[in-house]
Amino acid sequence: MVLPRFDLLEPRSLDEALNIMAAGTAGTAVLAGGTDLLVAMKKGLKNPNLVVSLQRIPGLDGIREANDHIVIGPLVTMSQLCRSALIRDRLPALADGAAAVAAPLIRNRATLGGNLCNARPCADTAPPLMALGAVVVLSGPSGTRKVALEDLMTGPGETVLAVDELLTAVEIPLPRGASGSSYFKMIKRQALEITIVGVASQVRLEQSGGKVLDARIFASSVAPTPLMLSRTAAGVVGRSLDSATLEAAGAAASKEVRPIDDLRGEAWYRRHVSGVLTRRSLAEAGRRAGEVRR
Amino acid sequence: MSEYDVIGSRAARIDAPDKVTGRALFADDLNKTGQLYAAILHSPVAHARIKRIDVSRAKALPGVSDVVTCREAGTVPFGVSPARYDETIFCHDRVRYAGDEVAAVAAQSYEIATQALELIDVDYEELPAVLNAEQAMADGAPLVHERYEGNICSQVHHHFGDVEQAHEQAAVIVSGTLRSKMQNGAFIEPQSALAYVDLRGRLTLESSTQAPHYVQRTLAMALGVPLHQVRVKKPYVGGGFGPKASCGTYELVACLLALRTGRPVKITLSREEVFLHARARHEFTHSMSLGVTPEGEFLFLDHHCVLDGGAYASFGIATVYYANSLLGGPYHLKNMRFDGYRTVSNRPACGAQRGHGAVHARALFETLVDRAAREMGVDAVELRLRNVMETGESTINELNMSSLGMRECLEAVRDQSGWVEKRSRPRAHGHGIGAACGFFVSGAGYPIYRSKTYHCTIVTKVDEVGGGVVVLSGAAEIGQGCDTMMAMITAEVLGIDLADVRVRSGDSDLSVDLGAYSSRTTLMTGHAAREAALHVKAQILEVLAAELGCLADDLGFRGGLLVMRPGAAPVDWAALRKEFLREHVGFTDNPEDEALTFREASRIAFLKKGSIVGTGSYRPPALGGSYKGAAVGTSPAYGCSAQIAEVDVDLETGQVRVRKITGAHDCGFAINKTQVEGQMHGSMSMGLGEALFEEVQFDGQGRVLNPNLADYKIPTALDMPELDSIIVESHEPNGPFGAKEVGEGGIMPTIPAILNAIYDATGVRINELPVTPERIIRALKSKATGSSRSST
Amino acid sequence: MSTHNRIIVLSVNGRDHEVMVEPRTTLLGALREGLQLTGTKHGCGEGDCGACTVLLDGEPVNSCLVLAVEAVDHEVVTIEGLARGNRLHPIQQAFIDCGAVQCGFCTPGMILTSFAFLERNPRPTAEEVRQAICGNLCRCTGYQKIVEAVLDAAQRLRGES
Repeated sequence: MVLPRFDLLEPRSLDEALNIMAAGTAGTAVLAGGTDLLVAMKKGLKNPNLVVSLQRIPGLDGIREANDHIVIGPLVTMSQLCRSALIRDRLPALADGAAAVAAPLIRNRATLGGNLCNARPCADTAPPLMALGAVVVLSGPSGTRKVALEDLMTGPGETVLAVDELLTAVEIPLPRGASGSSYFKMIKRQALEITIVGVASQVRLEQSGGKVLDARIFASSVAPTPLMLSRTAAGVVGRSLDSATLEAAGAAASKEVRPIDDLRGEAWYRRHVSGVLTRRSLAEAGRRAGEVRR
Repeated sequence: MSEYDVIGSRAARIDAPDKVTGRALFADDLNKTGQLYAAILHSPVAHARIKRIDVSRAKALPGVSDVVTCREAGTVPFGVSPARYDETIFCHDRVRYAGDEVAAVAAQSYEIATQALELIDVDYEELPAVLNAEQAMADGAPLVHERYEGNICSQVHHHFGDVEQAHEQAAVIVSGTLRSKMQNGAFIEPQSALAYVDLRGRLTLESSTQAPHYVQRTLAMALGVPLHQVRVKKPYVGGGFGPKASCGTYELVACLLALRTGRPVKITLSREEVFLHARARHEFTHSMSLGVTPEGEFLFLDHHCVLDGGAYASFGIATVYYANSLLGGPYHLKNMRFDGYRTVSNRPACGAQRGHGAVHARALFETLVDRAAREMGVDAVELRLRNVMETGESTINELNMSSLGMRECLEAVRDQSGWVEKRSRPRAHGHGIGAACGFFVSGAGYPIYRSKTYHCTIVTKVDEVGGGVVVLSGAAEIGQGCDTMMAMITAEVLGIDLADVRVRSGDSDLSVDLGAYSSRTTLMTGHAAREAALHVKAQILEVLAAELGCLADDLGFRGGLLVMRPGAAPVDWAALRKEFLREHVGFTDNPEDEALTFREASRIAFLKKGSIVGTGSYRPPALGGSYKGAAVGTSPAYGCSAQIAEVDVDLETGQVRVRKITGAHDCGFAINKTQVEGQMHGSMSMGLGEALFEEVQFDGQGRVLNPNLADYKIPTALDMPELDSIIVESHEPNGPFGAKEVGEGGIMPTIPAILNAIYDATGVRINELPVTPERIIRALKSKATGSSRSST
Repeated sequence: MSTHNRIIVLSVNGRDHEVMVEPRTTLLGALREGLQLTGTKHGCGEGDCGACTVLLDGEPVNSCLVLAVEAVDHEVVTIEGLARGNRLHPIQQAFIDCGAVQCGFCTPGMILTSFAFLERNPRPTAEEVRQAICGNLCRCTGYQKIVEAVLDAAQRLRGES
């Protein structure tokens, strides 16, 4: 019910924030939308001495096209992602993922940066962005570096971010040619849920003939971090997404995932549903790619 | 054209304006100058002896006013039923569940109070624990309470007719089991209370409670304060559903600390503590066999049930009876045998929750009816119609259906939902439709403690200035609408506008009322309200008759104006108006109506008689048979309900979406149609939640794993389908204006309608709740591999 | 900024208010305890129920997950800010008239979420209403009459009823 005591700083620029982070200790937490951090603090799972809010730093909440990429700032909220025509048209899997988060009240605050840096295995924007080939920009006092999103998370709640680094942008290459993406999730209730299993895929199809040229498939809540289903993806390349290919992909995904039993779902079920959602995600991604073709 | 002016309408709730503006005050909104904040220390372990408690460090923390344990609280046993007083304010010898209350602190802030809790040192000697009914009933199991042999706190053995003999006459016998889990009330408002003592020693507790009367009694008894020196009043309450119907430790703690410190003490449970306090749905394992004659008549029911209720008895002695007693209807049933066992275990205690012990029993029964129908090749609704009881009949366990619109409800949902047509065509992939019925008491026939007390009284007082009326009642408005119901009945009887009736309720100082549980308020409190209003009306008309030189029977009020009985000679009331106007020189709103107004009449009545006060009361007649436990299940009336649910099951993921529920409920007479529908909808939503999502989960040490609203899942607006509700009115002779219950009868059909629809969609019977996607997939896989078990 | 109390200025319902807070004080706590605006409710404290909904710059959010200091220089609207004196907003009137209120505890949050939703979507379908309110839990009504009330309010706001 009650938050523990902490110091709060509200830097007005990225440099100011990075300096604070550099001077800080391991007991520093970053506040973006607060929907993860404050809950964790109330439950006693996190107890930072210092909380650094990014909210008053301008320029971190944009969605723009630049150099064949879509660049999204870390403070963009889930609601903003859902409402962006650019995201819905070009990166539908990300729109699906953002819309899957909890409920509108949470989506109005929860940020993309928070969802990614919190690094929960169930994060709804992670598999879509990974399937879309996203790269994250990490900024520190000594400069920036880029990391493929699938390399950002190293375990539940763990990332490669140094204590004096912040995620300052997510860059997604504009899908080329006849590309389509989608994200499907399994949940019990229709809202306010933590995803039991989520599968995102992006496929690029031949302009004529419809065979898959490349595919990326990622699944959430089936491993300590969102998992690339590389074997499953490799299995659909060179084929058209007919029912036989989709069946095989589903079976492959069921084998490739590594779920555990937990409060929200049993491992055998997660394995089973991974197969179902992989099939559905690929089918929908293929359908959307087909629309682009036409 | 309604025969009534106020009742039978869709009048707006009288408390809605306060609620939509945020002006309605709930318990945590209340504050008193100088108040302290209390927090409770809970046991971290499920079963342990308390060797030592040292509160010295906690007491020394700056800002702490008081720390209490069993030493200060005493060990007067209390509970819900006097036959099972097995709780004390704090544990003194043992803790019996992870969450049990050991000590409490009052401090300047909630934060200091919780910090102080961590400074209380308790030495526990852990004991082996029993964490479910099976473990509790195993040979040699450790006892949760010495007094409950074999960890059985109550058991029932009933046999009506001859079930053994009946087996021989049955053409079809269907058997099955249903397991459910502990569930939670999950009201949106956590419990909260504010206690204070005045300088003359009167203790007042303002609390989010359904039952001020029972709380008052328990406080007085456990704390040793004379009953008349204890006042319990409720502010607005954010839902109760049963768990708030008895006195909780947090209420006793707030009062104890207020008595000791002399300061107001406020306590609000965290959401986690709501789960630890629990007092919600028991965990049931039902096994039943239903025998049907070749003609399709329900012949016998053989029923065995074990229900686990956690660490204390709470309502459990009634729960185990409710687990069967309401299966005697709404169908004819010639033979019924029941063996029921209510166990204790080292888990949070269970009490009464919407529908009490009857909900899962009804669920299994209605799925057996469905199976019998299929085996006999008969339509499931038709089979029920063949067996429904009619008004005036009694069940085999002597419950009298003084009104019963069960046939009408079934026919209404059958027709409205398009059942016949939908069942006759092939279902779309994964789509199914299922039906079920149920019924419930309109108030328990007997109070929880042995007494001849009136179940409720009402005092209705006319404003001495004239024009308005206030209804004073101990009844608990918890959202179900009883304040509005009392006001509407009063306005109807008096013949005045609803706007001129005020209600002050939920206060033990105002009158006796057993509270909002067992769906009693409309029938019982409504009866008393009607009587009080008639009493007021009689007094006013008596005065008028004397003044006007006519008979009181010639007079009445309608729309706030005096009217004459058709055929009566007109009267000259000019002198009365003149007297009124003489008293109101300078007023700009003096009456100019063509008839004498109630405002004037009530003022005149005061001038002649003094304060006009009417009283009403209700106590059911002696009900029930002469067999042991006959009392439970008795009621002056029974509401009944039928529902048809349509579902889509995703056969690949196992997810169930309920697409529509068509429900019909016989409430006798709808005092307020909108509120009756609202209660039907609320019942359906709790039923849907309990069918598909709700389950309190425990770890291997008896600790609640999901004490929050993220992992204890109640339906959201996207989970609830369109709800089609039909009101049936059978005109209950024992109810005011023919009204009886709707609050709990409406939950009875929901779970089985959904289960039957799932079977219709998938061909699998799920016999464990909640029906999770895992259970569906496991059952479908079993079926596909031709396993001999066709359900999980 | 240290852990201690300080006075901040919050703009609530169109007026500036000074309130004493710590960094850890939530917006919910500042409203209920600091400003005695008790219309916003505490149901769970963890963003699972929506009883604490307020509008922050016009968007409905769980105020239990917003720090009070985060709301400085932003506009907060609580349930107390909807009516004009005793003149109810059409949404409030629709909730009354359609029977969408039972215990009333979820009602302030439900109304504010609906208010913000109708500003964005003045012609919603029932499904869209359910999407909008899916983060506001109700245990009493089964949502049916709440959805009807929001659709009714939409009509009133469009001047159609």
